[in-house]
Amino acid sequence: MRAYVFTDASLKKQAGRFVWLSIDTEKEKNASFLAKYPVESYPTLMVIDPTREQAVLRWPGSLNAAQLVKLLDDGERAERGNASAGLGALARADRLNAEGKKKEAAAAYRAALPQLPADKRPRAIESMLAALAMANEAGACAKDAVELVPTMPRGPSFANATGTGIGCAAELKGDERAHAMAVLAPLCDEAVKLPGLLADDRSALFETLVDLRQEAGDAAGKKATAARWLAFLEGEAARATSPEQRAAFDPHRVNAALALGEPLRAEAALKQSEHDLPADYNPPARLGIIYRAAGRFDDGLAAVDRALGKVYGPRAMRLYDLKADLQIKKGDRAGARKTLEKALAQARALPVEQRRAQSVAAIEKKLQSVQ
Amino acid sequence: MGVLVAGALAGVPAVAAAGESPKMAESPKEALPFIEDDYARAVREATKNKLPIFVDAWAPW
Repeated sequence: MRAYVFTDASLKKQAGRFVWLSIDTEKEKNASFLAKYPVESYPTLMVIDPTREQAVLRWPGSLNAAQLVKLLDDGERAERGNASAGLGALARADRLNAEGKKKEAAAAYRAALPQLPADKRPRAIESMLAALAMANEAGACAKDAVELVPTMPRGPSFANATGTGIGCAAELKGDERAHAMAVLAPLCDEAVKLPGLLADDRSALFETLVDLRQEAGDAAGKKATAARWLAFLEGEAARATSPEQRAAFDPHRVNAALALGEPLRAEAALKQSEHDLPADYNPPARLGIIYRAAGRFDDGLAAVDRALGKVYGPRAMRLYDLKADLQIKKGDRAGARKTLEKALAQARALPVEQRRAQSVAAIEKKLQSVQ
Repeated sequence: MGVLVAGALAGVPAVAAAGESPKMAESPKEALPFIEDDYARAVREATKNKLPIFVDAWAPW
């Protein structure tokens, strides 16, 4: 969003409609914001009513500029509370969603659907499925996706709803899972080819397709899909007009290269990003990941140490975890212990809003394994 | 963007190696006047101007 969407000149005319706030969730100074407005996925876009200091709309994920303008309309409506019956119902669902009442919000989106104009239905379905997924209601999410996603007009909301539905179906077991996958997996093949998707949304669909091929035991299909995925990303990155835009593809390129079994295919891009964006810890951290996969442990350790010299906030835990992995691969268990102990000490010093229980538990488990 | 098939993508050039990339523009400028990491200031400005606040809560990874 920051490299591609918020830089879109067509958005300049929206400037006077809102006060615009950017929150780097990794910065300690933003812990109090996160305590008030918890964030579960990145990016999360929100509209906040400043009088009540309450979120009235919450969107987990990216949007293109045209979709963002529509979301701004919905955000204003949710804040003002004056709308026709259908749009008012959507605004109520958005407010419930923004308040974290995911199950109630999903029911409200569902109730709003018959009243909504055709151009608002796709976004409402997308929001409903995302709310169910975040409420850990995988069964309901997959069932609704099977019913509604095939009926959606083919576009970005269809693509995202397909991905969410498959994510929910993957949580299920037995016939329920098989039925949902049989309906939704072919839609993913269709969605990945649609024009007009954000590159990161298309990348996420490729990743889902790779997972589906792997799950089906189709090694050749997985490899062919990963190759298409990586070629797509390399093509998009080659068209980028700034280092930030090109680096936005880096994490996707790492995942695609790993899925292809050719981790070093991402090396040149990451080195370029490290050169162009010297304050950014991500390029050397990602180099550490691909060097670990390629068995170049000394290069990996050097890269992760460069990243640790720049990192701030909770991401440091992941880097220490990566460093310990590399040390273990080299047989340096004492070094790995020291690294993991340092990680735990830093994690415990983080503000509670930025302390990720899952990361802490993973580091504790790894530390036990090297005792 | 057209339909993506493996054949059509096979000729897409990979990104240039380090040091070989074409000259790129400076950092892109945001089209919207974002306040960086200052919620209190955003609330003050929004209240004064009777506007809602739009938030981009992001992570640098």
